[in-house]
Amino acid sequence: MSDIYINLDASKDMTYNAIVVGSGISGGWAAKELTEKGLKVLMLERGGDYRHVRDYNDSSVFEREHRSKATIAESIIRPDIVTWMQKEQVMKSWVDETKEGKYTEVKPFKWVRSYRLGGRSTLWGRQSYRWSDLDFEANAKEGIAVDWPIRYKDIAPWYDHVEKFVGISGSAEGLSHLPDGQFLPPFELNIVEKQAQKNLAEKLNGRRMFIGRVANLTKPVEGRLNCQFRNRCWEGCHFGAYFSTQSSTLPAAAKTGNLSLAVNSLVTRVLYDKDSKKATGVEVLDTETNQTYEYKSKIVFLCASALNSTWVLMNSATDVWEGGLGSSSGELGHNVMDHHYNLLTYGRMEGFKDYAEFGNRPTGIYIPRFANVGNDKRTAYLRGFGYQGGAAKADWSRGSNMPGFGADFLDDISKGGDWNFRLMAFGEVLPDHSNKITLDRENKDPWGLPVLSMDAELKANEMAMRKDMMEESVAMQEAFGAKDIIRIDQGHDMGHGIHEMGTARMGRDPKTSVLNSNNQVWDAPNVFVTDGACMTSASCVNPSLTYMALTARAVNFAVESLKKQEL
Amino acid sequence: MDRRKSLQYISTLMGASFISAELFITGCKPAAEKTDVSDTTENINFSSELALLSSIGEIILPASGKHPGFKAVNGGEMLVTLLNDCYTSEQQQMIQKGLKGLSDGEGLAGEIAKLDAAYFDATTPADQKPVFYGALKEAILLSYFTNEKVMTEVLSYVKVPGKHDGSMKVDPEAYTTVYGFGA
Ligand SMILES: Cc1cc2nc3c(=O)[nH]c(=O)nc-3n(C[C@H](O)[C@H](O)[C@H](O)COP(=O)(O)OP(=O)(O)OC[C@H]3O[C@@H](n4cnc5c(N)ncnc54)[C@H](O)[C@@H]3O)c2cc1C
Ligand code: SF4
Repeated sequence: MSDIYINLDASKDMTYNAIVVGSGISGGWAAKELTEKGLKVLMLERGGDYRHVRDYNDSSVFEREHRSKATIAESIIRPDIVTWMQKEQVMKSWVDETKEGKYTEVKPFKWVRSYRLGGRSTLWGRQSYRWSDLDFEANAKEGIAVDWPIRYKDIAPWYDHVEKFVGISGSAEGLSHLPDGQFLPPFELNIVEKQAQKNLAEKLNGRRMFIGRVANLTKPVEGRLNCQFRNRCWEGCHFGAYFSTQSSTLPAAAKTGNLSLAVNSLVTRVLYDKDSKKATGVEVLDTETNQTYEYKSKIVFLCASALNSTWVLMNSATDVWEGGLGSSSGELGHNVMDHHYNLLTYGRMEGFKDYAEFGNRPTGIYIPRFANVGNDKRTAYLRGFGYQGGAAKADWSRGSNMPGFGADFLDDISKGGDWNFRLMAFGEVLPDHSNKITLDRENKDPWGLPVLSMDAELKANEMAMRKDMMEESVAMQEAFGAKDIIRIDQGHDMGHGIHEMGTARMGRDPKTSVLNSNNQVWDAPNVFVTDGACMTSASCVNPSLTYMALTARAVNFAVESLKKQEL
Repeated sequence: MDRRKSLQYISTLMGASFISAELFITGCKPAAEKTDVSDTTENINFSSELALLSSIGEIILPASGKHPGFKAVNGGEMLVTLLNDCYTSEQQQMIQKGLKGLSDGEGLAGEIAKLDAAYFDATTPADQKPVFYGALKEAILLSYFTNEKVMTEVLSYVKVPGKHDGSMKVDPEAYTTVYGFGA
């Protein structure tokens, strides 16, 4: 694949049909679709190279210097990386603030970034669900923010399109608010989850729980093997058994012969031409040499991840609009959203002592939203939440929470313990104009560029929802038959859900939105933003599959428009 | 979080490695709080405590007919590495202070028994809990159970399982946790 890599200064004068900014989940899709439609594409990635298989970690726990525990030295340069993400084997994947710069926090914020080829596509949890009209109609029905300019029927064929390529395992459940897709065979619930599933439906009026839908292969596809049950996906999968830029979209784009890729290439701004009212290309900073270059193209796809794409827009065309390209509506940078979480319950499931699990399944259970769905009406808040989790047999680490020591203690904790059920809630965050990001021109990154300033928090609707998320979690544990239920609410800083969305929303009116229904910037129609920035509301459902579908849909529109010479 | 309350519910638990004694040694700061970037004080090197740490480990996880002991798998060296590199200076100081009260010798087992009882006794007032002991116990378990010999011989670690069976019948008296620490 090395032939796709280019060195910026060796190809200084080159012009492309399309430029894609960012190589993560969204950028990978943009590059694949654009190159497959015959366009010559330059993909620009600010981070360094991270090659499929060659650069993956394959050590066993016992081979690691700190046995998977992150060191303090690695942690203090990555203050946002806490709890389960803070693991030795992935620490180097996350942004080092001393090298990439800090951002400013008006209110506490966590920005979980990975700047390298593939972005967070190699690190993600792969949970993949369709959104529905429960989501796309909600703003209009409730008079919140602005209406989505699309409905489920507009995106459904694009979900089909991306799912067939990605490979999503899951079970068809026939739910209109969590539509079924093009599924590979599902992973299997374990014995305790099966019992809990049955008990939940019996005790709570048919409430649903099923295996999480994930972008992990249960059957091999071309060039990729099926999952081998190691559940170490975020260290990179040697079998290519889960979807990432590296395993999937990059090889497909490279195969066309139409892709050029430059790493260490930070896009600083979109070049804007006042006369044609269009972008002419982008400015790129080579992070290794500090040189800047200008690249020309007919269209630009901003896929740098939600807040970074908005950062690029804010830095662009500032001679025309002080707030940057796309700011004419006054909404650029506003309506930051996330999924609020850090709400957990644990319960001990009695019995099943003589059962265990073999293999590490790369997914858990999913409980789709039920609050404010159909006849279920909650008075304290709008929207709803879903749950992920699962049952597992306790391992030796329970010993540090148990009294005792000596030979019998060692023997006891070496054996499998009780099964425990864990539930983790993910709640929707409403779009709110006052939740915003701005450019902080006082504080600069290591290249002298202004940093983002984060000013966003959970509001009353989310706080009311959190209470219910916990109560419902406990009620479901009780329905499972769990004992000794523990509740943990660690609080939620915006961003920590790693589903940061909004800041350049889609809409129907250029006066109140940044992008139109085809993800075109109203102020520069040959610039497309197809990552999380474009979202008009947040749903409570993991968003990345929707970024993929919107990206493929926007590429199709862009190429059709180019053919008709409308761009 | 109220230390006592959290300790109570944690002692009714479970093998969830992310509910850990670290909750206490960080003064029960919610685990979701940002890493403290101001931790710049000089690191403590625990190499000089190797003998004592190895002995504490061997008391908690001794050799038996069934299992190798903490010393046999060089648990002490691993423990020193963890304490040196993975604990903040605040945590290190607390552990060092705790170790000062112990000496490697005949009385050590009795001291450990007292510490273990006090740490897990829900009636011990929060400010009198030997928090350092909880942290040490966790690090000792980690050092031992992630050892190659222990993982492959005591536990049944398989690098590439290749398949999944969520309803595997086992003899609970003989079955060891295969995937301690998420492989
Ligand atoms: C641990 C973890 C678990 C997750 N689990 C799930 C899940 O289960 N389901 C789900 O739907 N989502 C999940 N997510 C979120 C998911 O990873 C993101 O939604 C997704 O990666 C977003 O894709 P993206 O392409 O927009 O951004 P990214 O994947 O972050 O890629 C953006 C890329 O752009 C580059 N870039 C940034 N700025 C510039 C610039 N100025 N110039 C050039 N390049 C630039 C970055 O370096 C990066 O490579 C998870 C994330 C993490 C970290
Ligand atoms: S669990 Fe499956 S997809 Fe994940 S790393 Fe292992 S083999 Fe690959």
